[in-house]
Amino acid sequence: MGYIKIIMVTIFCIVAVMIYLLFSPESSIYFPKCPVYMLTGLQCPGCGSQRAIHELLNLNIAAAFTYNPLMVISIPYLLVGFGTHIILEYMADSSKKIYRYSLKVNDILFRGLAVKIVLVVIIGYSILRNLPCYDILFL
Amino acid sequence: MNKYLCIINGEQYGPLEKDKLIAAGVKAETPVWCEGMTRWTPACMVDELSSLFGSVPPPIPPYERVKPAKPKSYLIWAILTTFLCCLPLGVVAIVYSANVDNRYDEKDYEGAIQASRKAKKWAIGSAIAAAALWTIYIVVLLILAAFTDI
Repeated sequence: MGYIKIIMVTIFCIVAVMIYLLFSPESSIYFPKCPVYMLTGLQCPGCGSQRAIHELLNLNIAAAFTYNPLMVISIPYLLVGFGTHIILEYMADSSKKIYRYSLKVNDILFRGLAVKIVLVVIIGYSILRNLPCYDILFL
Repeated sequence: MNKYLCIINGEQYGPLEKDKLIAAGVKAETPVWCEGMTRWTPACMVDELSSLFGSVPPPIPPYERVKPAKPKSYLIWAILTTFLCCLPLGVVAIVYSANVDNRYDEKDYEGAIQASRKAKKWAIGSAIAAAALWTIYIVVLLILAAFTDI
């Protein structure tokens, strides 16, 4: 069961990467627009993620940044999160140095106060990117 | 020779001398105290008494036994769905993520477990909603394309 799951996830990721690498959500109609944006005209924290991922996969980091800067910034953070998650979840030997190190990193970056900071940043970002001054300040 | 007070089944006994403790029912983990000690200590942790119990490891302190492991907060998944699913459901998941540690720090362990479950539920719900929306979108597009081609 475990192997099937891993294979499915891997295939899904490869297909997703290929789609976003080869096709631009900007010009293709097969990428859905954000429902929040279509209904309200407001940008949610995820708006621009598809276009940003397309630019990132094509190694245009600056262009990706203009579509959804917070998502681009959060990628290293999420990668660290996935790394520690995998070590803590699947490493059997909890006495290893890397396990204890991951536990520490996880406690500091992904628990307690850090979660509250993430929440405040995301809500702040949702408000900020809908203000008229946003374009002038950041882009 | 030091005389020890001990607590057995919630009752205080003593003061007793070292060689009378075992007969009184003192075990390795029984809290004992004598003059000069700052707090009640399991008998096997007191240097003078350790010989009574052989090489038994010290017992697990009660607070560690009662305190359950911190439930998962699913924060990474919550953030991921917030950015990728374009629905505000991910933000709700992050709120519950924050709640997990809040509740845990307030020693509301049951509440922490519930918050953890809800964080997971909202993150998964957000992903499913996005997948469903995309599927509907594609199906509608294909139907439209089929009709306009005729």
